[in-house]
Amino acid sequence: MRMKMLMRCSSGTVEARESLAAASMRLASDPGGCVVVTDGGRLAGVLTHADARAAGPSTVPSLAVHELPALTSRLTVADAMRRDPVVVPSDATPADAARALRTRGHRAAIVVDGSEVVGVVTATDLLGALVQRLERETPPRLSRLLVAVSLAAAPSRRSSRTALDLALGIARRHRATLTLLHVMRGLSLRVAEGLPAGVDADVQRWRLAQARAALVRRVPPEDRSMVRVDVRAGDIVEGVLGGAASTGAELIVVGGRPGASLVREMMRRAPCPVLAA
Amino acid sequence: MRRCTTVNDKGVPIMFRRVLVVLDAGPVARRIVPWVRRLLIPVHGDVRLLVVLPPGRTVTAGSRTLLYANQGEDAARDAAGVALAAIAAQLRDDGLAVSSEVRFGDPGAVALDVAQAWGAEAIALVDVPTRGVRRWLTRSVADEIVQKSPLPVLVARASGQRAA
Repeated sequence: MRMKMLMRCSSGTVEARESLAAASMRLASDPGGCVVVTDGGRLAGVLTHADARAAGPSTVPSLAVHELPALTSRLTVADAMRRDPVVVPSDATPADAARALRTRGHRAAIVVDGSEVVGVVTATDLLGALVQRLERETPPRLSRLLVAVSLAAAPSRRSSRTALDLALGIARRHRATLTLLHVMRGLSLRVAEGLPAGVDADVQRWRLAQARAALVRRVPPEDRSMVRVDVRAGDIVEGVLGGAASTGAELIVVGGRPGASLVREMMRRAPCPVLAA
Repeated sequence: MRRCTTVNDKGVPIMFRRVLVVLDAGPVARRIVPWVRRLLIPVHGDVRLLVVLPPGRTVTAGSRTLLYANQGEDAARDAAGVALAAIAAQLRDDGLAVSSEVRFGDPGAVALDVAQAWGAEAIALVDVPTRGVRRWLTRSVADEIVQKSPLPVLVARASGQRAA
């Protein structure tokens, strides 16, 4: 990629003797937040938002409110601009421009074709190009999914089955870790967390073990290495949202009756998007 | 059961590739795009961007007609088309097949119609909350689509969720 592909078209120029307040208004409407400064038709510098802000008075001084505009109105573009700007030819690479900006500590470079200014490129533009390149080399993937599964119905229950199959399909494609979560009502929270919980603890531990085994059986053997099973106690929505938060899930997959209030409640409160399968 | 046409040899749905992304004229609804992108890049998916806008209305002042409904719709279509083109270009850069469409009408009904006609395998949208009295009188578009769609529906929240 060359500068001519990456640069922004410069939104005109400002004169060095122009008031900084007027130039700041131009900057506000410039999508790149950067304008080229000329002095009598000659290239004199470059002005960015950060430069304009740095040249202004502190926002927490012991000045009266009316004194701030009075002071800033006296400033000109020449007081704030970066002199001796970084200039790169339009056929330079992003790496050339980034190296030049980094060496000189500037935030924007002027792109020229011969002696004519054709555009500007900012550090943000270069960062965008870098992100694009990194993503091309390593495409963004989901790394942690959570699927909420019901054990109340038969394993063949289609909506729950669909959610699990869909979640497994996505996890395979993204090489993601899939948490298979079931929330049991009536199970002691202490037992679910592995703590002793009174006289019925053995029964509850048996239920917990049964639930875990049933969940594992639903996963094809070849997929078990990417799946972890979690059984929680309590309210279903709270359990699923808690599971998503604790596993850092990037996507929750849920089955269930279309439009069911539980699904809608999860969608409204989930820390990540919800896929209703 | 919600239908998903990308199935394995046993007929079990395993992944979707064709996703209908439902947008409106505002920036909030576009928050679903990074998630769809992230979900579909590994499968080289096919995205249709659908903007559904309220039908145009004729604007009159006294006996003078200032703007006909179709003129208003044309202007809104052009503006939405420009925004869609920018999103589509970015998704194409990521290797996704992208098409876009601007329609007028009830967002839920139009989205379901387009999903069926286009052969979508999933629908993606942001749950934009309604405010005030409308919150109690009407369902959100997301609620309507989740309830009526036979397809998997990916829903992101308008705020308070992690970024893609």
